[in-house]
Amino acid sequence: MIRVENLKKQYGQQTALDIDRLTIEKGQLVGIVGNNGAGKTTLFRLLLDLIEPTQGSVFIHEKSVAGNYHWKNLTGSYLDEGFLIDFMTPEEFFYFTARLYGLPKKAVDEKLQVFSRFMSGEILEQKKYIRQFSTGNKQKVGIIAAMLVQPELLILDEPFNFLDPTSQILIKRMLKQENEARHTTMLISSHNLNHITEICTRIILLEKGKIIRDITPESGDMKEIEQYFSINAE
Amino acid sequence: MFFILLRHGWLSFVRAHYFERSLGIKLLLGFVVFISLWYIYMLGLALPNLLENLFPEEYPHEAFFSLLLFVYGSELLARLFFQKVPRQQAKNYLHLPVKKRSLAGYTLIRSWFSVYNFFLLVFLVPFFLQTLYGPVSPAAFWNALLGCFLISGLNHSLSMFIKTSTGWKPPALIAAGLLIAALILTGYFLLEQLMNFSGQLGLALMQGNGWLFSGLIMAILLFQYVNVKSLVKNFYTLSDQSTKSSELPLYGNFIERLLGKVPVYGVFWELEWKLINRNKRARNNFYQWPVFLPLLVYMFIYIPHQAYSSMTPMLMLFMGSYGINHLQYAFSWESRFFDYLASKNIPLDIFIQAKYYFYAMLALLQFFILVPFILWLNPTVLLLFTGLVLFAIGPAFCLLLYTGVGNSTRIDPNGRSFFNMEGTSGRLFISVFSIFFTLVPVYIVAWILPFGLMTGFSITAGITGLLFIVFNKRWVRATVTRFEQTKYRNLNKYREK
Repeated sequence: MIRVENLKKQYGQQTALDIDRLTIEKGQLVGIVGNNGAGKTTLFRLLLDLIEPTQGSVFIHEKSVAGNYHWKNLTGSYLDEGFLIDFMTPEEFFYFTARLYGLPKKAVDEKLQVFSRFMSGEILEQKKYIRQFSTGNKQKVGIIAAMLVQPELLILDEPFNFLDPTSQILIKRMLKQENEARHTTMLISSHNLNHITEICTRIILLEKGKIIRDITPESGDMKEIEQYFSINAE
Repeated sequence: MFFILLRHGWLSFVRAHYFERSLGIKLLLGFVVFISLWYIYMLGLALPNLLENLFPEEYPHEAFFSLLLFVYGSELLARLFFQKVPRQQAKNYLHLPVKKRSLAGYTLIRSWFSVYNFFLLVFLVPFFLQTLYGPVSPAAFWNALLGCFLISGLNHSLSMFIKTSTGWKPPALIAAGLLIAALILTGYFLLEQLMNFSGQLGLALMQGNGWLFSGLIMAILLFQYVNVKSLVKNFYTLSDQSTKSSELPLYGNFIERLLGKVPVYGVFWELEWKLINRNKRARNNFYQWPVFLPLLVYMFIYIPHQAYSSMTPMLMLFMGSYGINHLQYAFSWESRFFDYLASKNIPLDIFIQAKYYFYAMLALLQFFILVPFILWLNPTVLLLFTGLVLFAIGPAFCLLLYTGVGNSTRIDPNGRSFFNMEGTSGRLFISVFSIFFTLVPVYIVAWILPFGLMTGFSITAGITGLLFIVFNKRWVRATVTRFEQTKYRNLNKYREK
């Protein structure tokens, strides 16, 4: 579904990302891990055509993301608060997003019910703009808006940040269910290895912009990744 | 501690982001501030003549004193509307071992550096110099100036009191203030008595009445004391923005829902309307224009037809005011959520066209509101105003949208509106000024045409405007092409906080 070729992003002399080749098949739930500055968010922004690659290309369904728009209808994403229109109420934001994807209001109402436990009564009918919500609840609004449109490809940057433990468990469960039921391709980044190993079918470890490990949890290489992070901490 | 806080306040001012600009832009902004102050100063110089014409039987200073209460009543109303309690600066110290009394004192002292406490002096100094210093006495000049400054200080203290102690309710207070003002000015409510009282108050100030000065100082000190007490008591509530209760309609109001129902463009019109109405800076930027409309009506009555030829750039600005004022910052208004827009399948042609049609409709609406006044007061200028509104909607809006593509500065639409330089850049000045230069070819063609300068100008401007309106899809496409070329650069800049 996604093909990355010879992708490089440099800021001046500093290389933020340098990937020779990466292919992600449909239905894979991919965890991207790495320390701060490893290039996780840069990779996501390049996949979403939000920054210009210094060289190379990203292809979704064999079409380059740069200059094409077909992939946007298939993709749901939430990277940070720049993906929220903070002067809308959550309800308005959900309907607005759904309208851009051509979803009717009724379909949105039905789909929102799936998220009712995740929202824990703190998102809908609050009569507040998104900017007035806590950081955790803003994160929830962004994740829901990305998942609401039932995308073929879901990209979430640090989705577990700012969430309470119950919401972290719920979002993991929902991501796994969605992946199994609809074969949604997912790319999720996190600093927390436990979350990633729990749900992902493939883990990519980035260091200084380069892929240094590409493994599956079943392969038994998880210890190696844990070792990697603990060595870096020493 | 108190002086450390003051020093921090000073550092936060001199290190503010709007000073982090190139020398050229700083000079330009300094020039704009200087010109604004110069206008106020000139108004003070011109006022004695104006008052002599309006009240020929009185000395100018007496006439001014009889209006003193109204001047400072309006000043108080403006403070209630716009002046902020600068408590946000103190917020960062609340968790530190700093006495709340020190924080309250610092907040109130800092509030005295507000521009509202000084700008009337720029106007009063030249006025009193002409009417009091020479004609009456230097002592009268200094007394009147000090007295006015103390009234301003009383207004300041009262405004802080209302905002820190009384659970500030702007709509109710402003409605009450406007109602009382309307009753007074239409003569239904004590107009004559108030003018007499105001006149005597001014004369007492001029004569240096000790009781009056003591009373003003005591009132200011009393309010300051109450304000410190109140701030200490309410600091956490006042500093916590999230405690502001809001009762918003869940799905927007009637206008928003109505706009949203329009096919194709509706979704973006709804977004635009919400952006304008739900964000402080965008809202104030947008709604400042109706204030100037009565000026146009005044012009229709008093200014002869021939004089309009020298005012066409300014009149065009008025006719396209909503669009020109808002579109000069296009597309920075959306900078905070542009990543969201860029990651969605939004047809750029439709997005830009929706924006264009939205402001074109507003300009036409404003024009149609003015038409009855034009026909009633000065029908000879109807052709000129028709030409100008079409020209504003046509080439002016086109130029702003096309050059706006290169505007990569981030704007917080909900940031404070006054003295907020976010989004101001050299590029912006060039694009706004170039609008006026587009009128030069119109004048040249009008001069060649055999209809006379003003008629020729009106026809040429109107036809040019119509051509841009009819063929808008072409220049919108050119804008989209440019938009796509600068997309990555703009997105990078929009992310810079």
